[in-house]
Amino acid sequence: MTLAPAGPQALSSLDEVPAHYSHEVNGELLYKLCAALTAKGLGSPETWVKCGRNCVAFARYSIMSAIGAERGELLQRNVEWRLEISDTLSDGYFTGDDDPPVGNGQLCVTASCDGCGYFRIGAALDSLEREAAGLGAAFYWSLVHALYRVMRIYDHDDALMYEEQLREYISEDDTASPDEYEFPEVKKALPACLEQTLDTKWTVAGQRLLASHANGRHGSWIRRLRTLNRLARVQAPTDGEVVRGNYDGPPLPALVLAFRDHDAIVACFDEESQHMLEASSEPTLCVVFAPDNRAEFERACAAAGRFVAFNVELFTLVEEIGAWEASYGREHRDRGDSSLRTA
Amino acid sequence: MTRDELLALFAEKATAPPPEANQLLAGHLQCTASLRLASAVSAALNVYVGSDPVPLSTPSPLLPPLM
Repeated sequence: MTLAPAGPQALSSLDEVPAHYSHEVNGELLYKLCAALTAKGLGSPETWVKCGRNCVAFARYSIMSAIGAERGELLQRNVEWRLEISDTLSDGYFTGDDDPPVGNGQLCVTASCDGCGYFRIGAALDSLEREAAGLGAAFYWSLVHALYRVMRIYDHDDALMYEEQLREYISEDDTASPDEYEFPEVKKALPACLEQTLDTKWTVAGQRLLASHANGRHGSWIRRLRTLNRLARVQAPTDGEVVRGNYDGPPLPALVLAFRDHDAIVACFDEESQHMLEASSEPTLCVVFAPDNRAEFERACAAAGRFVAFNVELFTLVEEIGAWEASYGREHRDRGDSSLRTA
Repeated sequence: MTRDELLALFAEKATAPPPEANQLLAGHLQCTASLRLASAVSAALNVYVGSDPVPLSTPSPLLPPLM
């Protein structure tokens, strides 16, 4: 048998040809952020070693340590916040090469809601009203007042607006008969104490009433509410106006504030929420900062810290009222409520 | 490692020149001929994947990178 002589290599080797490129833009901002976190005491040499000398892991671990495991788990149980530090203004849904940059040498810390929390407050308001007339209403209006200062929520006001739009839409349609449609009837879902105070809402007298019951039967809820009000008033300037033009709409609601399960507010939210992800939404929290500028970094930390503390206090209250309702609140439920009759 | 050494490390990394991979890619993005070639290859791939059942013949010596 004759073996053919070895021929020249048909294809040149690809061993030396780079097949993968890792392109990094603004990498120095990450190192500056890590330096700022270390200078503030949030990151340490031990953290650096623990994270395998990886800057992204170091920054993430340092921030999560500042939030704390227990507080982080509380938030994860109740709401889906996406906390990001980025050099572009992406919204999580339309991320791409066209994302506008934050600015030269600047980063942006944002918090966007991917899944909102749920606060069923009807039984608690009833119990507060039984303790003192007007206490439940004062609690509700004070809570709504504090929430609006920090985040977008979905409450009876949004539901009322949705119902009004629905009725207007049907009345303008000549071919439709209003009798053929089922409207949510939000006003009927409101507890009597709120229906009577729809025009006055937050009042100084209500605040005094709350203060006078801070050591009462539901003193713990009232003290948490006062903490929420205090945190809501903390000066923590954000940069929502700067980035507003980059998004299609306002932030997504981070909390549905309903009175009962399956009530008219929940029904309206279920309808409206189907269209909420069709466009990009502004982040709830947005602070632009240069990581190597001490004052700007401190300002961003203060705003993010206030935001986390507010959410922790809010969802601690949600869980506390939920636990109370599970053990005591159900016996006082109004059995005449239509949502319960159908359940 | 102390805290000050860690801060010095981050400062050094922040001011270091871009990595070689970054420079290669930047060079490619600035070279008109390289971009034209990439566009032609991309178009040829689209034709091949799209409708033409005949595979493109492989040139004997592969073209070296332009950078």
